[in-house]
Amino acid sequence: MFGWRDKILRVNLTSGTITSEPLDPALARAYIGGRGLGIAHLLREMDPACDPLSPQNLMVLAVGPLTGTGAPTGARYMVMTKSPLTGAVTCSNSGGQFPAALKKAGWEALIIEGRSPQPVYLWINGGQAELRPASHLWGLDTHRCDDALRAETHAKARTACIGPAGERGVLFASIMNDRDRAAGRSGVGAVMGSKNLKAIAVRGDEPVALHDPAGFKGLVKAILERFQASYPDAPPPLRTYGTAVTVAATQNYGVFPTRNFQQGTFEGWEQISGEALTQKYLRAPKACFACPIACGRATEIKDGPYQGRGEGPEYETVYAMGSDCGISDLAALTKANYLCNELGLDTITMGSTLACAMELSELGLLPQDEVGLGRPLRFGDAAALVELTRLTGLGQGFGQVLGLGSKRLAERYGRPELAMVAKGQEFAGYDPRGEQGMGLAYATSPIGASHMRGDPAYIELLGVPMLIDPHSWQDKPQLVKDWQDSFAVIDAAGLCVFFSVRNLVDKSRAIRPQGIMELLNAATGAGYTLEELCLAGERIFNAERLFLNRAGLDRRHDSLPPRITHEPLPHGPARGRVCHLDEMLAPYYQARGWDQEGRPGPAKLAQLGLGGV
Amino acid sequence: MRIQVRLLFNLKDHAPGGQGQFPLDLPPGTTLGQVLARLGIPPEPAKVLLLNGMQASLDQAPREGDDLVVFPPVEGG
Repeated sequence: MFGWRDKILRVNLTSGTITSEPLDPALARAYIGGRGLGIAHLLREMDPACDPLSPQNLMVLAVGPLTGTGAPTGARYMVMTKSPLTGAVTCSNSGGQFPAALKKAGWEALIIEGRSPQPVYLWINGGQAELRPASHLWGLDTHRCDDALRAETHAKARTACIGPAGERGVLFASIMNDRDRAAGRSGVGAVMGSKNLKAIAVRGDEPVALHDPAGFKGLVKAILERFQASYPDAPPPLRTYGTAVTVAATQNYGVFPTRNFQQGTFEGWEQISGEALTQKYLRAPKACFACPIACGRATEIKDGPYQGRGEGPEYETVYAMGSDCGISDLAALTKANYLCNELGLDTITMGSTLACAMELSELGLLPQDEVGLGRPLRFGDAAALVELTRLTGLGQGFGQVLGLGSKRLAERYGRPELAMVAKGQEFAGYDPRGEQGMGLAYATSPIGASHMRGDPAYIELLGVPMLIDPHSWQDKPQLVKDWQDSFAVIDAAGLCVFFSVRNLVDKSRAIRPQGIMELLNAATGAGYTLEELCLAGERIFNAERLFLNRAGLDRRHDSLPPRITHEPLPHGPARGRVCHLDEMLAPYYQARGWDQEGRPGPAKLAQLGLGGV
Repeated sequence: MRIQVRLLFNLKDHAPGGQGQFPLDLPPGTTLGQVLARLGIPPEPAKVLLLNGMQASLDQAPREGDDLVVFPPVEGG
């Protein structure tokens, strides 16, 4: 096969057996790969109603057909499993160098089954794979684990591992690859920990065979030339400022979530902006494999109580640990980010859960002695952020409660509506009251309130690839559907959203994946038409929805907290507004061909070839 | 007539004195397109214009005391 690797590695941790299986070419074509291939296997091989932390849960780690090929930003892989945080499917995405190494080792996907009787790690050296004891690695943070793995496998191995948080079942534990890149959301690290799988180390250097190497090279050259030409005066803002560039935009639109979404503007925003980060702590921009942007942040805090060195923070971390906690101390939130990377935690859920705890505490519902800081927990307490992040990652003290995420925290203290979640997954850094499409995207994303399953902020706020009114809701159901389907194609192909939405889609509002189609056809020879590729994106999204329906989730779970739908924003440019989810949901289901309970109808399933799945 | 202007990211280079935020005195009726031209900001690629936090177009005219924010299209997240 071209583009795709022709085999999948199946690892049964219960029996300790490893087998190589052929990649099903028809399945690969229909689901593209990555996120698509992952959901195709989950739907066929596991019971979506199972306990996510039981051996019955399956994990699929899949690259895409463009991962590791040299396609710009073809660096991504997906972790697909059932989430212990939400009970829904999760598709957690990461870049760095590990995914390309897995591809170059010759594998399109890993399927992880069962549970090992004792801690193990998986060592993949090209076409060879083995399970090795990992008791000596258990308890190590992700950086020390990476050091140890490369020392005992190969100096050039690339690793993905869990930290103490994943070992202890923190419900939002991440899988960290290349030390500081995160498959962050929905607790994929807790699933890996429940399987007693500490890490995966990979070495691969076999180039990916392409259908039309010369044509592919020409496409890549033209895409990169267009990319360079679109920044005639200065480097891309993402390279200069990192994703925290977004702070200035969301603040000025009045949708920068502040103090557990009680406000949409933050008085300390300039202290935690991308500009501040660049001026104070940036060592160098860092790029994933084959990426011309380099939005990653290698940073260092040289002195003071939060001294340290690592990567981050990203925009989402700045919102969750900064404005949402009322914290404008950039050093503290950068330090908390380092701790999340090392202990293996999702920074978004960590910060958002703490913001919820701060509100509960200020309302007098969370006793000071339960938190154990020796002072009341209040918004703005930067030292509490750092200390409670550490305790959460280590599963100690009040960290054990925070480690359950904000939904369970708010339920425990009697105010479930104060958890800023959809499907139990914490919001990203955009207040949907001032950005209607984002509200619908949060409510209908298969993994809960993620912005990365069709991110309307690009078109509603940021002007990529164009600008539309963020406050209208009548036009958003079709837009969100189209964006969700196109994002599914981006994720399945193994590409990065940041690059694709400007450079690899057509000029329509639906951002049809024209450039991705050209790259895929040159790489694989599959001869996709644009219509076929759009349908594949829709197929992936509907397959995920089938998984959710079978796990017991439907319209009742496509919801937002009453703060977002009924409490107007108190000030700022979006003052007085609420999110009109109810008005958007019915037409969205109609656009999707779903019934009003949020279930794909027989005609839609038949059209997508999902009838018998 | 005076408005407050904030230029973000690399557009700061177009601000008087290099400071991103500054007051600007304008004859009444001046359009945002004319404001950008006066600051030497090229119209292409199209910029995001926020007038008091609301998206605005090049033919719109600000009023006394308005806040104008201008930034180039950015990816983020």
